Amino acid sequence: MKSSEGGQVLAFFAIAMPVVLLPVAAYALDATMLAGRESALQAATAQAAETAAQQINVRALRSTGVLSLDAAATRLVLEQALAEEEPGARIDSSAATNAEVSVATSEPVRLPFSMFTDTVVLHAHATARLVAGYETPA
Amino acid sequence: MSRGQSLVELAVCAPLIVLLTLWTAAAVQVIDASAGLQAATQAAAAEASRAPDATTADRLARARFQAMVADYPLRSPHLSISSGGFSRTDEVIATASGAVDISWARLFFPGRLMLSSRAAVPLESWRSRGPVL
Repeated sequence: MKSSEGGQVLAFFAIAMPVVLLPVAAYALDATMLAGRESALQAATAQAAETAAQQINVRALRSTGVLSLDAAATRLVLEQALAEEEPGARIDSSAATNAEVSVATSEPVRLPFSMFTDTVVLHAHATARLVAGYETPA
Repeated sequence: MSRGQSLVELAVCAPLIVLLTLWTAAAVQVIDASAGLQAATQAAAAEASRAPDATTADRLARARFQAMVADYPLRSPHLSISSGGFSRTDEVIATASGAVDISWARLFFPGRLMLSSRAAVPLESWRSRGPVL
């Protein structure tokens, strides 16, 4: 090696570290964290939908004998259940038909290591049905 | 003058690369285990909330928990379930703990990290259940 080529390895690492190695490490950490948060949001959304699908309209049941959902109670329970499990999540849309609850949620997640974007918004969707009987739960 | 200089430079830089790689792999393993423990705890609580009685709830929750944590790098996972009197207004509280083993990187990190998680799910209020109403 000629003396003018001294320091090439250091120069290579000085460039490769910030340009390649650190972003790859940051991506690995952010991707793993994001996958965990997404599965947690999906689980919380599903749980909220299931809890909301138990809000039977008792008045309608007593007067007509038909199982249906109380729309107001359903919305309230959705908000409470989601706030308890994932405080950062919010309900984008929800719909309660006679015996089915659908909910779409989203949650902004801050990426601690990413060099390209600060925040990613995760989305989840769940549907739960009110079904009579214990042996065949919804 | 510069004979062997590249080797010295590599010797300076290589440990940094190795350290970065180990740190990343260990952190990914810990984050993965933590997410798995949380998911298993949540699933166990949800499973218990659908059971007809406290004994069945405990059994189903443990089976679900064990099945889920088996897929994650967790050592000595432990679950405790509390469902109060299993009345309609109660909720199932699942508390879990487990260790993540990163002893392969113990030159730089602690060999074992303890993780814990908690989940609470209300009992299904309209479900048929055992003697306690």
